[in-house]
Order: sequence, then structure tokens, then C-alpha cells
Amino acid sequence: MASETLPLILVADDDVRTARRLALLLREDGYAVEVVGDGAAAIARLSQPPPPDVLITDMQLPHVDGRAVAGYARKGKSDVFVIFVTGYPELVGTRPDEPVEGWAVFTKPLDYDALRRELAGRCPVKS
Amino acid sequence: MPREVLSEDRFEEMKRYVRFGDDDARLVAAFGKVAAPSFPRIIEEFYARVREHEEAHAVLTGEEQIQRLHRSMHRWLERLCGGRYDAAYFAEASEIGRAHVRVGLPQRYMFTAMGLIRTSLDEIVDREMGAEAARVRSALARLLDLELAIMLESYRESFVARIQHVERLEREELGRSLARAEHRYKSAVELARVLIIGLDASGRIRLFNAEAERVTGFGRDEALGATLVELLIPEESREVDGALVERALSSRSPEGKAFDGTVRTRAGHVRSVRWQLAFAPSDTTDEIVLFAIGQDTTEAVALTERTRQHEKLAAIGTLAAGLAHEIRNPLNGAQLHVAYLERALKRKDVSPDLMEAVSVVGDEIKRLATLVTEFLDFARPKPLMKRELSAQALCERSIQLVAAEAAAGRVELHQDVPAADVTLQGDPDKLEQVLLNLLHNALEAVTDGGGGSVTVRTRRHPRHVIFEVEDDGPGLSRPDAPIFDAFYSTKPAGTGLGLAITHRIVSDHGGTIDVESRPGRTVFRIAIPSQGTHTPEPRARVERSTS
Repeated sequence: MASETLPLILVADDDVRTARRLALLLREDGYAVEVVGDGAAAIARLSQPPPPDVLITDMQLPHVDGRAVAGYARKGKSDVFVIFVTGYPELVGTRPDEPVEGWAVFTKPLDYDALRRELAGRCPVKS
Repeated sequence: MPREVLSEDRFEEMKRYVRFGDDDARLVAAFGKVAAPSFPRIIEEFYARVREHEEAHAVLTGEEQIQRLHRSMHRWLERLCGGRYDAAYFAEASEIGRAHVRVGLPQRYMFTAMGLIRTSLDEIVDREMGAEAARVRSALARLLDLELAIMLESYRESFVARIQHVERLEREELGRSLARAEHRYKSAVELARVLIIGLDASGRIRLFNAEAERVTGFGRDEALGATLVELLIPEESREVDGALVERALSSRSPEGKAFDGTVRTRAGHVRSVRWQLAFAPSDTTDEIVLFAIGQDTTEAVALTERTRQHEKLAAIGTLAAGLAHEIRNPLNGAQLHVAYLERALKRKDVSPDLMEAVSVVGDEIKRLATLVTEFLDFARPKPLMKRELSAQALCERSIQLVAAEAAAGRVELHQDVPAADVTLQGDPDKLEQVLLNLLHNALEAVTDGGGGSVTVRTRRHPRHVIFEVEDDGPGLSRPDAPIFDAFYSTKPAGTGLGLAITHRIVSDHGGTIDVESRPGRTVFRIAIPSQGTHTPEPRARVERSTS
């Protein structure tokens, strides 16, 4: 199976060890995963093809926050699925200009099984 | 009322003093007969002289009066020379004197006028009385002196009366101003919303105002004569506050120094008072020398303390909420690694002990995550999103959500709701959370005892909607346990926040929650105002009763 047929997930988290562990789990479950450690790196990655199908990002990121990263991703691919993983879930969706549509919010600590179910519904892995 | 200016006895005595006897009276009477034709001329000349003089003239009001005066002077001359010097004579002379006083004739004019008349009469005496002239002149001179003496008495009497009148007015004024001053000071002391206690040099209370009575509960009769320190200063404060009073008394310093002290009331309570001591020097020993002026600051102190406490709690809450949020980051790392570990171990087919150890770590992380979420719910609740909702629907949904849990624990679930729709204003999510919390607690209590039944009930009261969650479990272990306090828990896996959050949500709805518990029957009862509240109501009272 060619790698470009796999759904592509970009994980943005400054806790790099945890991000890599999440990437391992996701790859085992059949996704192509890239990891970036801060907001600026996320923007840099998003400015190049191919655009990810899913963005999993922390809200608080160095340099550029998760909200801005999500907005940038949406510009590159309007139907990108954004998953916020945050310690402050109550702050997501509080701004009037936030397009809550196509977003999901997970509270830290991330329940991996719940995340996998969410992904399976939105972005099924072709087998 | 005119008094007799000179008693008749004294008139007689004066006559004796100047040796004016019957012979003199006869001589003057004889002279009168001779002189009578000259009276009009004498009077004419007299008033001519008066008119010449400005000040004397000033007492005259007009020609009519002058004619009247002419006549009365004529009568006077006739009387003077009438030969009868008795009580009637005396009375008339007195009356003339008073008339002079009334019109304000200065005494000097009376003297000079008398001098004029004397000169006029003497001329006639010299001309007409021949050998008797010397004796007549002498008698006339003494008679005119007596006349003057009587009239002067009128002046004296008038002055005395006027002085007495002035004195009386002054006394009355003084009395009035004293009474006014007393009234003012008394009112100021009695109406003042400060304690005013006056002490004599020995420290005994000599003044105890109404506010002092009100604050301390001691009556004036009890306080007066007692020493301030013994009556009002609590024993534990005597060393400091008592010493301050003693020092103020002994130093005799007029400097008022304020200090925060306490008083012990009649009922034994201690109240905070801010005292100001003011020294009032006095020579007499039993006079007040020290004023203790105090303001009851008990409420203000308590309010300040509450505010401080509240601010402290708010600050701690902010800090704790920040900490709780931050705890989620390391938990996130731990949980993902545990998830990875579990998956890896499953593939390797390791011992059940190892699997269990990993899953315990996973469970503990989840429990910590729940604690953080519940704590944040409690410390930083989201604002209520109120709308009209159905009490029955709320009960039904809650029961559905715990149905599986109940079945697993062999617990029968009952719903006891009225047929007619019961509606209320509230946040459906929050109220559902309340019912779920209570249902979980009830199910746990019943399940631990091997099964039983749990009932959810709702009732419409005039102003409230009542929810009840009843179970037939063993009941609260301690009826007085602070079950609604944060972090109080009897359950090994409990966060101790469930009932605290429940209480908070009910309070935020302006409602109350209470519990009634005995073995076999425990009921949590919630009352939510059915119309909702526009203004925030006081926090819910927690009431409990056991039966």
C-alpha cells in the first residue's frame, strides 16, 4: 500500500516525547503521522504539500498558538479535521470567529481509545 | 405697683431730724397766704427758664402739657405752703417724685429747679415777712429739703427696681443658656453613636451614655461607681488595655491616644471597640478627668476579616485552578505512555500481575484527571445557562443514565413523579449533574449492602420544585459529618467533591439541599425556586436532620 493513501495526521505538541508516543500508537493504527514541536514549525510544515487530513494540536504552543495553527491549516485544506488536546477545554470555542464546525476538543489527559473512535468516525483507515 | 417710697414713719423721723415742727408748719402756712398771689408769676418764670434749656425742655411734649404742668405746679406750691405735712402730703410728694422718674427728668434738674423755686420764694419772704423772714426762710429751706429727699427716694427706688430687673433678666438669660448648654451637651452625649464613658481620678465610672449601655448591656445604675477596667475590660486584655487606661489616668496628659481594644458585655460576649482616651483636667477629685470615647467596631472587624478571608480563598482558588490545569499536562504524557505500555504488554502476553500493575497506574491517572475536572468545576463553575425545563424529563433522563449501573448492582430504580407537568427555571446540564451525583451515591450505598432500591421523586410546592433521591441503604455513618464540604469523603475512591459541587449548583440556583438519614432510609432533598431568581440569592443553607 502506497503511503499517500494513508490518512495523514500532523501532531503539534511541545511535549515531544509524548507527541512521539502518540504518533507511534496512531501509526500502529494505520495512520501516517508527522510530529512538530512548536507552532512555528507547524506553520512551516503546513506551508508545504501535502496538507494533512487531520491536525492534532495543543492549544498552548511556543511561538504560534494552536488556534492560529488550526486557522492556517484550514486555509491550506478547508476540510481539515482539527482536534484540540488541551488542559483548558473551556477556552476553546469561546471566540465568536472560531469555526467550531470541524473541530473536536479533548481534555488532557488524552483518552487514546476515545481519540481513536473519533478518528475512525471522521477519517477511517482504508484497509 | 408703686410701693411707698418712704414710709410715713420715716417721714416723721426726717421731720424731727431737720426739726420741722408745728411752729414751722404754721409759719409756712402764714407765708403761703401772703405768697399765693405770686404763684402764677413764679410758675411762669420757672417754665420760661425750663424752655430756655434744651435737655430740660426735651421732657416736655407740648403746650397742652405745659398748661397741665402749670396747674400741677400751682397745686404743688399750694400744698407746699398749705401747713399740713402729714401722710397725704407725703403721698403726693412721692407721686410727684415718681412722675419725674417716669418722664425721665434728670435729678440735677430737679435740684436746680428746686433752687429756682427757693430763690423765688425767698424773694417774697424777704419782701413780705418782715421780722419773721429769717424763721420763715429757715422753715421753707428745711421743707424744700424734705421735699427733695422724698423725691430722691423715688429715684433711688426706681434705680433699684431697674437694677433688679436687669439682674433678673440676666439671671434668666444665664439660666436659659445654662439649660440650653446642658440640653445640647446631654443630647450630644446621649444621641452619639459612640460609647462615652467618663472616669474620675480613681478610674471609677461617672458618666455612661446610652450607646455604652446598648453596646455593653450594662445599665447606667450598674456601671456608675464601678471601675472601667474591672467592669468592661476582659481579663485577658487587662494587661494591655487596662494599663493604657491607668496610664492615661496617671499621666494626666491631655493627649488623646486611640487604640483598638475589647469590652466584655453583660452577657459575657467580647466586642471590638476602638477607644480614644481624652484627658479633661479638673481640680475637684470626684469630677470626670478622663473620657473614654469608643466606637463599636465588632461588625466592621468581622467584615474586614470575612473580606480578607474571602480574598484569600479567591486567591488560593485562582492559584489552585491554575495548578489543576497545569497538572493535566504531565497527566497527558503519563496516560499516553501507559496506553502504549498496555498495548505493548498485551502483545507480549505477560503475567497478569504485570498487566494489573499497568492498568492500576492507568486507573490512578484517570482518577487524578477526574479530580482535576471536578475541582475545576467546583472552584471555577461555569455560569448557569438557565431555561424553562421539565422536572419529570430531568428525572427520567437521569434514571436512564444510571440504569445500567443499577442493574449491575441489583438495584431497583423507581421514579415517583406527579402526572401534571412540573416546570422550573434552571440549567438542565447542571441539574442533571446534581441528580446523577446523588443517584451515584445512592446506588453505591445500596450496592455495597447487596442491592435494594433507589427512588427519584419530584414534587411541586407553592414556590419551589422539590427533588428527592431516596435509598434504603445503611444511611450516613455519621449524621453530623460535613458531607457537603469539599474533600470530605468516606469512599476509598471518592474525590470528596461530588456533594460539594452538588451543593454549589443548588446554591447557584438559589435553592437549598438537605439530608435526612437513618439506617434503611436516606433522603437527599433539593428545593429549587420554580420562578428562578433574577438577583443572586444567598448561598444555600445546609440543613440536616436525623430520625
